[in-house]
Amino acid sequence: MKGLAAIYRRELAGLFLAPLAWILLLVVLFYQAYFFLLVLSNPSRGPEVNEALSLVLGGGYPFWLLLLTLAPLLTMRMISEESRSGLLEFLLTAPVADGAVVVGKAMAATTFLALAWSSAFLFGLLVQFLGAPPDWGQLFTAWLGASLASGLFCALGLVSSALFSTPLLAAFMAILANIAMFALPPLVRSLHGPAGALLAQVLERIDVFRHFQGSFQAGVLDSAHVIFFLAWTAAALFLAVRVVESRRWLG
Amino acid sequence: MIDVQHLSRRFGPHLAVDDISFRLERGEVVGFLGPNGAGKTTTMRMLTGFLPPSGGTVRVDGFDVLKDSLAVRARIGYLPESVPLYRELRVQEMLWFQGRLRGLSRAEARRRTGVVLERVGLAERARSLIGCLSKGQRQRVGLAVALLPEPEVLVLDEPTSGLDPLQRLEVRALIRELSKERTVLLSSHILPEIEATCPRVIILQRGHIAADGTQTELVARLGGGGFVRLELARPVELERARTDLAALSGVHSVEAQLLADGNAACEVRGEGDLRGALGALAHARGWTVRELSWQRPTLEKLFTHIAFELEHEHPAGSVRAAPPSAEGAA
Amino acid sequence: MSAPGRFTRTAIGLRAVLAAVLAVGAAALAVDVSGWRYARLDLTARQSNTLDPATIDVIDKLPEPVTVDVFLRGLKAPYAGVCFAAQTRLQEFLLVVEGARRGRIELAFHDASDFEATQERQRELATEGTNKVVLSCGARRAELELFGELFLMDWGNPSSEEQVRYLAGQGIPGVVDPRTWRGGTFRPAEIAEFRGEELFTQALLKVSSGEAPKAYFAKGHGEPSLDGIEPSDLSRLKSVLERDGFEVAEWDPLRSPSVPGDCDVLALIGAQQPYQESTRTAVKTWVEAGGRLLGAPHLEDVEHKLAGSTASLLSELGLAVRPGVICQPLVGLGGEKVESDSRCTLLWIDERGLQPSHPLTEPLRLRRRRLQFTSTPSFDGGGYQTDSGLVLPLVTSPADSWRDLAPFDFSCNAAKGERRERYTLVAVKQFGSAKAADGSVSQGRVLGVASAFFFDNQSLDTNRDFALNAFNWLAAREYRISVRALEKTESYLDFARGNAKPILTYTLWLGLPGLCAGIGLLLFLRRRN
Ligand SMILES: Nc1ncnc2c1ncn2[C@@H]1O[C@H](COP(=O)(O)OP(=O)(O)O)[C@@H](O)[C@H]1O
Ligand SMILES: [Mg+2]
Repeated sequence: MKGLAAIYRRELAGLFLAPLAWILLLVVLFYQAYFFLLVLSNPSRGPEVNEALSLVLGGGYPFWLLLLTLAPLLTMRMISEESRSGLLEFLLTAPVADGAVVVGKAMAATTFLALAWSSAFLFGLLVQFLGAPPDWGQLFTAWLGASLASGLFCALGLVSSALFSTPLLAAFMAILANIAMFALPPLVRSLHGPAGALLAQVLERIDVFRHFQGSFQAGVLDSAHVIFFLAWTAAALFLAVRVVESRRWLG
Repeated sequence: MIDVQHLSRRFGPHLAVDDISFRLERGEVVGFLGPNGAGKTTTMRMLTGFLPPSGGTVRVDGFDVLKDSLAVRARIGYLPESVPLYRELRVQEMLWFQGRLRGLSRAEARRRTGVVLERVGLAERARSLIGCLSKGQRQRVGLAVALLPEPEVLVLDEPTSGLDPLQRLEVRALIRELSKERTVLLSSHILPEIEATCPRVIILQRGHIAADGTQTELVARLGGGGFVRLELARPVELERARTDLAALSGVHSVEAQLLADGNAACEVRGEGDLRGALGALAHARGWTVRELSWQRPTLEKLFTHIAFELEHEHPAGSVRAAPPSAEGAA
Repeated sequence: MSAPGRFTRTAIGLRAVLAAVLAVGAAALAVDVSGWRYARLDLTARQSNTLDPATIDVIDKLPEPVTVDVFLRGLKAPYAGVCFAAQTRLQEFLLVVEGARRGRIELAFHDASDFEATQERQRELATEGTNKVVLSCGARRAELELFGELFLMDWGNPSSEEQVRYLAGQGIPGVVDPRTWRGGTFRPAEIAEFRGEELFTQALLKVSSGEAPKAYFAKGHGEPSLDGIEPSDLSRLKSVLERDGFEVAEWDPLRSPSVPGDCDVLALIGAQQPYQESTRTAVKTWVEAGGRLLGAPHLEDVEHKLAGSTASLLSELGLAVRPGVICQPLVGLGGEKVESDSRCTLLWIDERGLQPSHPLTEPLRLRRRRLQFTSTPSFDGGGYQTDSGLVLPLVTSPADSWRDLAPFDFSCNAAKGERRERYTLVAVKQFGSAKAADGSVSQGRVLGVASAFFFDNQSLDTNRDFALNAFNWLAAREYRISVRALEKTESYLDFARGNAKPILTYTLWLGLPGLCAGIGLLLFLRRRN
């Protein structure tokens, strides 16, 4: 897509030039360090490095809590605020497809998160230096999975940002949607009765954690699970583009 | 270059632009004039493809805005009313970004950045953060952004708003210069702006085209209200003077009134400049003339006239001066 | 040309909703389709997510999908941690299995939080208890216990009577027996081994294969009870067999003299009285006609050379049992060898005592499984050909063991003719092929285990795998597939030594955030205009 690279670069620069990004990075570092050390100091298990690394990269709920709130915070302004300030008018009258604009923004936010998650590599280097080499393959797949999941939640955040006109409202709704997407399948699975079972079967298809756990967390690249994330990300991006488009129609 | 046919746009129940048609030839400079809320911005947004029209078609250089949106956008340099700029970027970075969006090579983008900044007079602020610029400077950066791709068509929405008088003059000069090479469509709700820069004017009023033509044409056809002002020193017999004046051939109407200081002021309307005939009459009657002057017909008069007319008489029946002009550049 | 505003608004809204539905549908479809054909790439250092080809093969050949119901419940402190670790590991393993061939294995986790649904499912599966995995395929079931089967546990030493009773009350096999607990210092429980892959594969084979084989246990001659729960009874053997897919029944030769026609394995274990002549003849002719016999004589029977007992029946079939108890020196506290102690009759057989290259013992040998014998007689050395078939020793005692002859003094007494050598504790004899009544060709098999104590409740924890292998081999169900264990890479930091902990803590809390803040500040300062 023409112009995609330009938009992507601009958005990335925009993210890193704003203080919010650095504050979020700092928060991520502290948060991850806290849980990493928490696992390592678990007396009944001993300082096992792989488990600790897995926890900070999607193996446990703290990570998902972080991701579910972080992605909307990054994307909340991307469309809603630009639409207010007129920047969207600038972008959408440039000879660039709407899709490229939305995808470029999503990619920038995802890149930021992927970068934040790669702090786990630094943790890995550190423990390797301290004499406990981690399983790099597993670390890599977990990072990849975390980044793919970030892409999905950023895309959802963009949908919300396109739907709602104030960034805060957009972030709030996106966080709600993310939590629903993440927590609904396991909740429904514990329902009983035939209706519950059917619903659980349907919701299986959006079960982020299960698709993450079964492969990325364990150190496996599974084409089906990669496609799971890519497919939903694509669907969310498509939706975001459609919403941006209908905003034009509605004015 | 731009061909607009039966264009309309609604926002919910509200009709912002109602069935307007006009054509712009290559190299023409046209001013969109209209009070706030007349639909200037809406029309421009439809021309640039930002808003899809509710009805009608827009073609730019033969491309339909809806069907070949990207081709149209590539030909237009657009300065939106809100002058959208990334405040956290430097001026030159903003321009480079525009260059990348337009698919310019790096070297070309940098070369043109220098050129357009020179043109808008911001060459020495190239490394300033946009957020730190004044409103007028930002306006000029926005202009530079619109100019950078060297588009065939420039669409400028209120390009001089927020500028001080001196900068305004500069921008006017710039637009005049640009008009030698490109088609320019600019909008303003300030009349002198348009008068100074645009040979051809389209007056928009409540979503309709109220008037369309060159300035002289419009003034001539609509009787923009040129009159002779005659001020007589006291003592004046007002009624007498009025009947005398009205009796002159070529005079259509006379308005005469006594001023506070006892002098009398008359506005004489008729066929063109009647100063000679009036002077002769005054001489014959022995009036003491304090002033005898020709008040040129102005767009402003026309504008207020139209606005007034539409407000109070028949909103739908616009005063159509001429069919869409095909006279080429002024 | 312009449509009424309201209509266009609705149309636009509808179009957006339609787009949303389409996008969601397309994504769901893609997710579904991606599950049909997929590739998995295991990037872990030790391939800990790649199932053994043997397991994959079994899964591929499943005639229909297998449902795996997992019933888990946590244990109380101080066993909560180890229980959680085991459950987590099991879960990870099952996810790997599910991911390896999707659609073939369906997982259903039941946690204790939804009690009713769990109970209902348990009723459907006709099972009870928690911390177990139930595989079901149609009407066939196979159960695997979390503790004792999937995980071999070392339960350590509880610190209080209360803990002992708590553990015993959980129905976990192999925990500390409240009757034998003697106090002492606390030692935490540990996972000794995870055997998920192997047992799971076997369970899969079982639920996907045909009918249940039938094992008959002779009764009426002083055999230990199949239902009693005394240490000397066989109830655990029975339940282990049943869970392995066997149908266990009793045969009373006094009532019906001929071996039941549907008998796949006949077990004569621990009879203390002789069998009648007619019974012995019936068994012999049955074996020669292709029957499968497991014989384990009682010590008394051997010592007193009872005529017509299990021992003599085995001898008549070619597996001669010798009186005398096999002993092995004890290892004292200082590593010295101790004899003249009644505990010398407890034999621990490691992989050196297991016959390689026999399907029954080889998997155990590869997995370094140990066997336990108490007060066992022995067979004549094997490896010889009798007129009716080949006798093979399967399990032999250690090289420094001796056969202690009565009167027992538990020391190697050359004067009594006691010699240190390897004695055969388990021997097998295969007969030539014979045509059964229904026309199928079958080979008679006799498996002799020198001591009936080998199978009793007390020893079965240790000998469980062997016992199962034995019954399965006799029933010609050779599921004993050697499966590579999936190991997770574990890498431990050494906090005790050096200053690893402060380095880690300071780098994580100060170093990295400092770096981040520094870069951010630098950028901020550089872009201040
Ligand atoms: N996004 C919008 N939503 C609803 N109404 C709008 C929108 N944009 C413009 N309008 C309405 O359309 C009319 C024309 O607006 P506009 O084109 O901005 O006028 P101007 O001539 O001042 O640029 C106004 O009455 C305004 O209220
Ligand atoms: Mg406007």
